[in-house]
Amino acid sequence: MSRRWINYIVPPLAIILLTAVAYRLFPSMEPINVVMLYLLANVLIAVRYGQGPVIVSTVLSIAAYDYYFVPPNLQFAPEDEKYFLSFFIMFFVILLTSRLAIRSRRSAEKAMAAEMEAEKERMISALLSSVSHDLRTPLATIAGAASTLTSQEGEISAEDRRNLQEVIFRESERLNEHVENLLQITRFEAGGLSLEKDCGSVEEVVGSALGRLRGTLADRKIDVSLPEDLPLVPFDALLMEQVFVNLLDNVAHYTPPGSPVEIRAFCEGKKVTVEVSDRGPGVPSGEHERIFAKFYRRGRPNAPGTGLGLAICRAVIRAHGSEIAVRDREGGGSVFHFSLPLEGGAGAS
Amino acid sequence: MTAGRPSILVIEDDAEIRRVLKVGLGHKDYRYLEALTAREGTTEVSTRNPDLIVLDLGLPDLDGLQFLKELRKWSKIPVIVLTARGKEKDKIKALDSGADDYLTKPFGMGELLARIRAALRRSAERHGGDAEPVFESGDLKIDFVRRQVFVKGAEVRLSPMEYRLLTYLARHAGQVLTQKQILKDVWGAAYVEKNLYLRVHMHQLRHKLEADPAQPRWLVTESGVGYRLRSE
Repeated sequence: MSRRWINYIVPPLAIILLTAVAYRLFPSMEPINVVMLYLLANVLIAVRYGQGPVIVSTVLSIAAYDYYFVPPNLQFAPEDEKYFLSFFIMFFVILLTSRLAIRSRRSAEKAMAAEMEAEKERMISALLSSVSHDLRTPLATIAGAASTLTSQEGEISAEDRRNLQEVIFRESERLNEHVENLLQITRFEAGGLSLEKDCGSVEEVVGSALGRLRGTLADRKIDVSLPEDLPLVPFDALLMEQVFVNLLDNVAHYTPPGSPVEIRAFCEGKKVTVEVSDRGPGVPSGEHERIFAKFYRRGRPNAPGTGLGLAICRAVIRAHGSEIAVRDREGGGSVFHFSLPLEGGAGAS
Repeated sequence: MTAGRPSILVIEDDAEIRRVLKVGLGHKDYRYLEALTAREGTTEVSTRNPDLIVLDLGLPDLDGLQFLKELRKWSKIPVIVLTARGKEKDKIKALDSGADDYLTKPFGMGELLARIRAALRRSAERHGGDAEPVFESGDLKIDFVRRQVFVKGAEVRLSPMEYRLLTYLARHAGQVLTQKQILKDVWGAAYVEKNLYLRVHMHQLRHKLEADPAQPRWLVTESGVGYRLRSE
């Protein structure tokens, strides 16, 4: 409400100021130049304040021009009638220009809104395709296995039964991972995720992440090298564990079975840097930034995972005031790395 | 403990989960009891005197945490809480309110059975009076009488605080302990906020006992909640 009110106060003030300045400083200015000054001022007012205010300021401008600059000065004289045509043209030009200005501003706004709408639709369709594919695939497997178990109870061998049962359990865990990822990224985007920062031990979160992925990483040589005097870092332990789980899970998906993984951390000045390195095929050139985008899967629409793992990593690290990135590793593979600020976190020993 | 098979009371409002739990728990080792609401649960506990409760935190009539607090006023029966992932605050509240352990939904039946066995064993030890003079888990051995700790037969020298922390965890082997519980019971009530003390001592203990401190065998971190000494 107060904003609308201001819209009708500022433009007349501007015209009064313009009139005062023009009259005091340039009393001998050519009338045509004065007219142009009013024109310019009103076009700017039209763009900034819109239709209503510009009509008020235009009427005021014509009155001021007539009174101060049309001879005889400082009065509304009957001779001014001969200027009616120029007043009329001035009024018309200002209105027309202001209309054009307002229309072009509106169409720019509309274009921006349309662009945002399109972006939102792209997100939603990516989300839907992710949800329908990643949630339905395990669901279909579970439904298939379970219905086989119930409908053909007597006909399946004990070994097949065991296989189907294992499939059900494994796929339900996969389904759970997907749901967790979707929930987490949604929570981040809704801004509803608050950090539970506490002095955290990198060793502990690496340990619990490796514990959670014991099955997935069973065939890997995992080399963890953390200095014994690595300081404690203020972070949200649960979210940081998720970062390691997602990075290691990615390694499991995108690098050849049995290839090694290295986890390294070191302290430099006021920050602790963490690196997770693999000996996989590396990130294709030009995709080093894109792989952190939501629903992005490296060139494979049916790649395992939700395409959310790295997006979650980035969201978590950003929430901790830093950035995660990937670089090519010497001798092949990639290095995912991020640094966490210490902010006066105390030492470990 | 009642003679014969231990009885387990499941308080859970979802019919399908109850059905699965009934099959998983109701076999030869346990007697299965169930309740759909907190009120029914209270009645069941007082009339049937079960040996353990599996409690869903999201009950229709009363908050599971509230139920737990009420229960703890008059019963020490072990309680394992079922929660959703990401609700670490609820887990901590449940443990601090007297729950013995928690399990995140969805869970495997094998995991639930292992937690139930561990909780029943601890409960039996509590009732059995004298605790065992020696704790053993794989290559880790703690002699409570001589105050000595061995890994693979070799003695490990611990500071008095490290020893207190380790023995406290060993007395609750298999059980998740919140940071607050550990700080209160090992350091004292004035230290419940000193997470740093705990983290530093845990770090030292791991480096003295574990072959690979980043992939601990015994001293396991439950991120955002606390610690657990895994018994083998």
